[in-house]
Amino acid sequence: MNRDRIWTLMSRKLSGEATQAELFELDDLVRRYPDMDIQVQFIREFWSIQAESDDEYLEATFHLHSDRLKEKGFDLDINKYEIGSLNLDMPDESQKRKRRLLWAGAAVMITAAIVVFGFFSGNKKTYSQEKVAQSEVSTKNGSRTKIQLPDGTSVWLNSSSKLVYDNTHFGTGIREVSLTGEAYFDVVKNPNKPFVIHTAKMDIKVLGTAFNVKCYPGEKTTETSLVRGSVEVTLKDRQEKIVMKPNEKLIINNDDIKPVRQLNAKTKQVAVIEKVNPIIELSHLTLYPKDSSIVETGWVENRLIFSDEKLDEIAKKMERWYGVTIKISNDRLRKELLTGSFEKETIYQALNALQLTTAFTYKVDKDVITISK
Amino acid sequence: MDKRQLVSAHELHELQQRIADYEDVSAYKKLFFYFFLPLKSFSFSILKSKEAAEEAVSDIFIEIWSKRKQLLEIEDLKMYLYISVRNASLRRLQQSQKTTMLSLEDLEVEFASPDPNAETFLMTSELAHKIDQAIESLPQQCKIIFKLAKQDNLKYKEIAQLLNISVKTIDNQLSTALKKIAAVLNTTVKRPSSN
Repeated sequence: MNRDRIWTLMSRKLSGEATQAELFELDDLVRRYPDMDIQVQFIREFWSIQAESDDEYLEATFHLHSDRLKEKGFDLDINKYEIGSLNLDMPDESQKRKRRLLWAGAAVMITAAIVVFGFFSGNKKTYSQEKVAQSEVSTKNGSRTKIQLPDGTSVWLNSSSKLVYDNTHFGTGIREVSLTGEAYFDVVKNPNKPFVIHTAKMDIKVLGTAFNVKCYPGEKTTETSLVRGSVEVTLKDRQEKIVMKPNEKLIINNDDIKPVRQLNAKTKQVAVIEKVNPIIELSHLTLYPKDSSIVETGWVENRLIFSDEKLDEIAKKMERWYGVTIKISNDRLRKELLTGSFEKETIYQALNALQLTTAFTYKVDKDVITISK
Repeated sequence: MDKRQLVSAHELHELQQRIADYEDVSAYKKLFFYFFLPLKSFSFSILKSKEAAEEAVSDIFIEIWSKRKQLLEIEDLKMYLYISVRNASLRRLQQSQKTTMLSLEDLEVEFASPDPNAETFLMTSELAHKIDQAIESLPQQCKIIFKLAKQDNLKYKEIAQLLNISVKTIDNQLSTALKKIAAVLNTTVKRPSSN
């Protein structure tokens, strides 16, 4: 039964066991059984809710545990380690020698420990297997997915997008990923290991935060929208850093290298210089007027939202969302500003709704939709 | 209050190193904080006593500290902890009840209720309650698999090794659990249309 298959695939997806092919299969199945969509979403949300950790209980239990350790002759001197500067740097030579002796003395015990562990853990090999170095997750037009990185960071990947990271070394120094397309990141906080997203035009460095990055090849701009926390954006073409605050959106122009004529004030000569600096604009996130949800991140909640956007930009979003090609044959129509939000609507329902505010007709030929006056 | 944090393999290795090389008590405490609750809960499902479970896990952590210098010899500390707790709990059970066999259906699995204050657009307190009931009605084997996958974030292979069952069983049981939990949505949304 196909519906049961959805739950098998969902289990694998949520446990991080699903292959890329299985993720695609799941997407396809959910689209084929739209009535399952709400259940699938519900389970996904339910899965993400973690039980609360009871720090007071843990603190008290650790205290009791320390007492039990003391009875066995191990005195944990917590204060020695928690107050003031920790003297944990490099052990000096005499300590090292002492340690070496200890190691030699402990050799027999170690062997015993390994044997016992080998017995308990059965097939040890499964845990030491090296994983494939490069992990790549990508989505097609019309499909979106959510993945979890080894550090627990969640990434929602929008249509036609690709995320690449090094599975073996992820998080050993800094946490690094490369993105083309659009993704929403909810980064797990770790001040010791900054999270860096590389895109063609900029690098974004984060400590722990939630934000959206949009960098589709072929689009005019690269955008970063910050929902909470703080990020530092480095523009690749000029080593400039911009620190963003919550609710800000940074837009940079992608076609940067344009020869621009500029009048040099001193020499009064007209010089042709290579303008390599991208045009940068720092603005605010757009709120959808009806319910104040954030337009830039609506897709994460499976909503296609736009607010006062030109029809040709909306068409681009719809192309990726529905996996179709949209052509607009009229120039004035292209610049028409529209506002709207779609969730469960089919492409036809969406187009019909848009027709209520703007007069246009459309023709469908297989996957190509042509919009005209 | 902080949400329960999941530790990454890399951070775990770092803690392991700090404990082994520097006898770092704060790293040891952190390890305790990460694993005490899930391990206690796992031990409880076998021992069915909160005190005995706490003691069993505390014993394992005492062992970790007493063997701290060899800690780096352990390849997979997370599984080492789980398997040690499993074996210690089974040994305790054997001492008190003289039974050596324990079927997965004999477990008593506690499942922490979903936080009704969780910020999600689907979760309501009514639904949270229905989910509780749905999870409660799962067979024990299904429930422990579901719990280890969702709450403890263990991989299929790790659960298989811990419970001595096949990966295929986990695949089946987990999907059954999800299906049953998702079904609460139908009973909540579809109200009887009579009168």
